[in-house]
Amino acid sequence: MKTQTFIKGDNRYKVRALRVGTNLWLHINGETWVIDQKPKVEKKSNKKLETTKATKADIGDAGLSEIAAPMPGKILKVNVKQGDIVEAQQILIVMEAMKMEYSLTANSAGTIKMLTCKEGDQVELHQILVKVAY
Amino acid sequence: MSRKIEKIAIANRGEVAVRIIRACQELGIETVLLHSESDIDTFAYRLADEHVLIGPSEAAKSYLDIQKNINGALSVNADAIHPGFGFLSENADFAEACEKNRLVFVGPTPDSIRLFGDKISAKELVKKAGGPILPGYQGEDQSESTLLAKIERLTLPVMVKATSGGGGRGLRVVRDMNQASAAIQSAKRESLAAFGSEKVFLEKYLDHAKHIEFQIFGDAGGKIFNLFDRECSIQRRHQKIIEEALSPGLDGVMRSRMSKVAVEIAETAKYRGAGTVEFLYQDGEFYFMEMNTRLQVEHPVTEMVLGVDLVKAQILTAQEQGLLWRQEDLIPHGHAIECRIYAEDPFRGGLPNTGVISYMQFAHGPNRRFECGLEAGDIVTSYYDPMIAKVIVWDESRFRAIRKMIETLKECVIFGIHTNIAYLIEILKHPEFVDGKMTTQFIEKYFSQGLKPRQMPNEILEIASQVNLPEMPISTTVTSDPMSPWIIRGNA
Repeated sequence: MKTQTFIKGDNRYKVRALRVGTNLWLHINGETWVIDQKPKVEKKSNKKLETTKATKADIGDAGLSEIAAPMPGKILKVNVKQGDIVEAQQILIVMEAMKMEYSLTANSAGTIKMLTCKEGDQVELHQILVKVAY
Repeated sequence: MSRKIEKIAIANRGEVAVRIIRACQELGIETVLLHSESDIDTFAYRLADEHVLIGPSEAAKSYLDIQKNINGALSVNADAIHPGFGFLSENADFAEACEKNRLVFVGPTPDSIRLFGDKISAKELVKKAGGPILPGYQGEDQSESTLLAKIERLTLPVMVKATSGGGGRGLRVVRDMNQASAAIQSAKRESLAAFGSEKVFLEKYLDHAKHIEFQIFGDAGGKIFNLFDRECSIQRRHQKIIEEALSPGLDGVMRSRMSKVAVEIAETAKYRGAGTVEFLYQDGEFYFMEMNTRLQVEHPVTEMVLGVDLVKAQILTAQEQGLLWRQEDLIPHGHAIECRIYAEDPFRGGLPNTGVISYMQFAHGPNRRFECGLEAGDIVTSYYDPMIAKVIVWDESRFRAIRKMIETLKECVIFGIHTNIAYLIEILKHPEFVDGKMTTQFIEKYFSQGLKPRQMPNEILEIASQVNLPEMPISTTVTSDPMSPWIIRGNA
């Protein structure tokens, strides 16, 4: 892969670039950047927004926070059940990925509205594990 | 009285497997890679002369299974096994099983491994050798109530650690009695998953200590060499990220006091092979932490300042051969630093990521060394440690070595997987690191959340819209000529 030079005014940029799937990977002056060049489907994203609103409306609470798996891995421990009242920073779920444990905590005080995983589950990246209403 | 090793089986994977294979090649020894299913067609696999599939991807059913490794080595008539680091490298039963099956274990004797692997006997030996130890609890009573009472008596902060631990797994620090119970449970769980035992011990936790360790080596004739110190204070969740030789925190007097204790410990144990005595150093006092009876991940920084090859020394010692070293010639020169590149996204709290490395280019130059177990096109899986490479540099002074490391890292290009390179650069630039004053609290104090998300400057988007992209390689279909004498393994 060849280095390309871009000059704008007094600034020079040494650039290496590669497209991987829909991502454009750039290495520019010692820093790496990724630009998602997926064509945006606007209708779909609108729909999604509405669904989220509807869920909130169903619950009738001021807010809802969804806690998703930050990485693929295994659920080791679930410390709460539906209906539990939790405090901010309380550990809700302990998961393991790449041989290390990670604790998922509540962002703020609230009530467990929905629990979508159990101990021993293998979960995907971004999979919603628990919903907290606050 | 030497015994010739003609074929070594490697009970490991990734960059350390590559390191061992290359040392064997230089010594004219054949290599066999004992590997798991997901490590078929990895870089080490391609370099090794032979391979034996020993089990599925889960380490417990392959790399940690003693019998499968022994059977694998015997099936190809290997003479010896090199365990690398991690996995079975500090397992006395494994070393013993090797001996029983007439395989030379490249490492210390099973007795030495057992002696230092057990924290209680290790500490007794250190006391005998005149070394200072940290107050703690190593009892058989593992009930939560006993452990809680002991934690209170030691006064916080206290560390809960897996008895058979290492590499930061099964390790928790208790700073608040309310978290003590959760910490014990979590350490036990992690220990059970990683090492198959949930036994833990407690130790007073020093909150502004430096991690300083001494490399020692026992040759085939029983002489113990002092290979000086490394500092590994930059740790994230007790996992080392940046290591250097020598430590900027010791003066000559302290260094000589500590190295004497390290050598004394090894001599008392009649130690053979490569070993590391780990100390915590705080306010002019040092305490023995543990002795690692194996090669260390950070061994290259010692090799760079002393001009030695520890892996070859291990193999020669296993062959009962002498080394070319003389203690008086082992004088450290200049300064070496190692940075571990992990498949972690520093802009998202250090989140590990997996996938294909689409492109990888290291910035070679004088006194820059790259240890990597992957080639472009290879996959980083979630089964093993997310470390993808080590970058080691040497220069005439510590300041120059830091500058060289920053420039080297900036020029390393890795696409397809997010890495911690930007994170490493920020640490290297931090005034406390530059001054050499960092302690094991450094990451927690300054970089616990990784790096703040960056704003993408407009220039980047402008460049992105104009950049010339390399053309996709044209996939050539190889016509399979039945008369061709060539057999081709693997894809480009």
